[in-house]
Amino acid sequence: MFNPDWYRTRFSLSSDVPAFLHFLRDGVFEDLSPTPLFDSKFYRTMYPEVETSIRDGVYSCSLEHFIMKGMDRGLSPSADWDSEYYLRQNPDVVEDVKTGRRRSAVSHWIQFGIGENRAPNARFDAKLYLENYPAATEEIRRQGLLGTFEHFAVFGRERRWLVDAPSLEERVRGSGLFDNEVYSALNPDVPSDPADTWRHFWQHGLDEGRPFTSPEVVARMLARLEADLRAERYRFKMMAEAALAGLENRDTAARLCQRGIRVGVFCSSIGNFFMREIADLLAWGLEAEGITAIRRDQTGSSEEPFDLRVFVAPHEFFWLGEGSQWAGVAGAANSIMYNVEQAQTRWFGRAFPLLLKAPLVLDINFQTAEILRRAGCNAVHFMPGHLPGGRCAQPCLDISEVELTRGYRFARQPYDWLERDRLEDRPIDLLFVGTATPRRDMALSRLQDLADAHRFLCVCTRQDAPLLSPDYGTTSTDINCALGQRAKIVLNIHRDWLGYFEWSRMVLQGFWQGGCVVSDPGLPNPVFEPGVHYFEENLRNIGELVRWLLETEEGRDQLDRTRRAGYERARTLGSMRVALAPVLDAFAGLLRL
Amino acid sequence: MSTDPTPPSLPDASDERAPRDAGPLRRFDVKALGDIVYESQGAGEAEVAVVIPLYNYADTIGEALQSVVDQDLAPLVVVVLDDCSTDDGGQEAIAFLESRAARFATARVVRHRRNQGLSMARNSGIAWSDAPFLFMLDADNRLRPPALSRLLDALHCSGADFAYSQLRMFGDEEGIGLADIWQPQRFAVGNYIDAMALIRREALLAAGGYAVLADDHGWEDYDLWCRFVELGFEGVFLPELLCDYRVHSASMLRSRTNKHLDALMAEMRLRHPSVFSARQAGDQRA
Repeated sequence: MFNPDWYRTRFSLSSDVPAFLHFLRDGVFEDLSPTPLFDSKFYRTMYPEVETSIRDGVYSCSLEHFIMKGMDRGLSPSADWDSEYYLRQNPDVVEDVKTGRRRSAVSHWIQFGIGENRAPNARFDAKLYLENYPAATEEIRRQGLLGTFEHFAVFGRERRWLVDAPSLEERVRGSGLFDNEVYSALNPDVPSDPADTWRHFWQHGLDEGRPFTSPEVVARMLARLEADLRAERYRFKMMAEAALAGLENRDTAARLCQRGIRVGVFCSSIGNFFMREIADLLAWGLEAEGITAIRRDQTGSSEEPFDLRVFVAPHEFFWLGEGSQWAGVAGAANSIMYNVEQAQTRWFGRAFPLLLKAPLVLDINFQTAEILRRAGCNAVHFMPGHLPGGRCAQPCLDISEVELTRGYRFARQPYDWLERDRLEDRPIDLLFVGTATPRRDMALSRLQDLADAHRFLCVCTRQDAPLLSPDYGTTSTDINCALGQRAKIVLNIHRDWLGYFEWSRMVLQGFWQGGCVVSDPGLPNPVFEPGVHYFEENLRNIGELVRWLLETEEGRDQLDRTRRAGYERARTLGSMRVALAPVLDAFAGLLRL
Repeated sequence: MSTDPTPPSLPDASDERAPRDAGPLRRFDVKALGDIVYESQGAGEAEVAVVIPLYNYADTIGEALQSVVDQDLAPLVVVVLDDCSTDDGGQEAIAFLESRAARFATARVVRHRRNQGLSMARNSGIAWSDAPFLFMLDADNRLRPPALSRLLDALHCSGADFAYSQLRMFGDEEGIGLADIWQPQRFAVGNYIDAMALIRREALLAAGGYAVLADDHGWEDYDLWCRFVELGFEGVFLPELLCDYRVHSASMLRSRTNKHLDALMAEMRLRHPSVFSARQAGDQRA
């Protein structure tokens, strides 16, 4: 029954501590459970005699009580156990208990039932579970788990996998994102009576891609998921470290290559350029793993055969131009959605109906992936990883043609930041590139004084700027990278107070370009840590931090160390191979490989 | 600047529509519009002259002038054009400059005899200075200390005809301005470059200085940029917060009805048809 990996993750053990040893030494005394099938807290709460017996020294922990006494008396090991249901479903067990061959239903279940995939309660349907999540079979075998239910207890529950098949309506409600008042406020034509509001959303609003949530609603959801998020972050990091050490992934990548899998990576050609860059990176990353990945846009043919199609930024792809003609493909069994919209934005409303239908969702935001799992999506967090030969990871030697830097002498000199990689070679002291929002406007204008003594480049594009053809854009990813390479500090200010981790600014423009990232506080990320790989400071004091970093010897030393740490991290735990590991596993699961 | 106006050689060409290559700003002598009421000479040859038109901004002219004093670029010329202020802004300016005389290569306060409006005040500023580069500063705005040196550097290294930066808005509103890279086709939609720019004297003269538009509505800088586009001149943008733009709740540009806006845009379109047509944009990029 002892499950070392589960125990290790659940109680955040560091990798050098043998799990069983920990359990014997500490776990027992702290009454930790070594298996998710037994919930010590639940057990003690349900049965006060347990507390007494431990205090009196009869048993050392709840688990011992259960094994020695409770199981035979039919006490419940966890909230999952429904002995009445079990007896109803399994007449042979009733017989066994009557004749005394088995002491209790639960002892039958623990010793035999789990292994035979018998359900402990009405909600769990083992057959359906395995159908929905084919990857589970392999995992059960590989992990040496007792049966489907243990898989659910160890992995499925955390991943928010469903044990039955809830309706789409239940899933949407389960996401916790929909709010009556917010929906009415954002859509004035909607009836205000709460029952009617939901019905409107359900019947029209969802498919119309209407906005239905707000930062406040998302924040409340994230607060509720706090413990799960923390556990998932830990799990994600452990998995990334394993992938880095090369323990797992080569296998999956090799299998996909062997089968000659063709992946189409789709992105709208008429949307935001930034989305296309993410699509390019994904395609390059797959190719680097030896998997054929082909870039397509909405003008391609839906007849073109692919084993898998990944739609990057679906909130644009299926809505702009000819993309709307691809609607039929959206729910296909091999159509994967890669969401890059933060959950609290208006555009997420356009992505949501597509994400719900998809057999697999990739999400650039760690927290959104977790929320989507709650909504029953098979969601995997994926941030494009660093790829040494790739664009955006190469020095931009010549920026003399870039309009934005036409007024600077440094732009006329060739510059290869990797050649000597010295902080003092970077001519820009502080860099901010982003679209303007009221919060950013306020924050940037307060950093005014820094501009006097330092070179502070502030490229704040207006969202309502007149639409021009892509050639005439002020910035592009290449320009942003070129600027990042020439900057000592890359500043990140979250667009709103919720603070989703801003991949493009912090990772692409910051870490990958060797710049030191300074950000206002945001939601945590499993790979990059504040205080280690970048600096976090609230907006009020961010000016003081920057001043310290640029103007004092100690500060500059920290600036240099931190930017190097960030770059190093990006190339290790943040590398493309590591980032793709869970994605390739998910691909293999979809293709039943 | 010559004191005898050159007779026009082109028939029926109003100043606003057919700027000459490098002639005087107007048929009449612009200098004759006003008189020097204060002047001081200091040391050095200045490359940059800061022109400050002043009309009833006694409460902010001190800040504006202080921001010029605080520039890290030296030497400098400053010319204040008192367009018949009815408050004591003129005296304020004089008092201030007197106490900082040593800072400037030349400091002048010129008072118009009759109120002429913002455009002519700027043109007077051009006429009353001879530095090769001019910066247009409004009396209610401010410069950050490194502004002029960085804008000048940008002009030198890019060879552009004028340089401008991003603005920081302050006062009744705080935020970042609308400035962006030089893209002539954007003028077809509206103005996105403020008057606060460092401009080559030759470019200003070639464009005939600032035009006087109907109703003095504050669009003379938009008009100038459009003229620059027509003349094939280019601006260079510095994405830095080098100038402070004061936002008034009752500011000139904000208290405007839609109807008025339509009329103004129509006037721009009439004055600069090539700027408002898409074809011109392609040519400009070459």
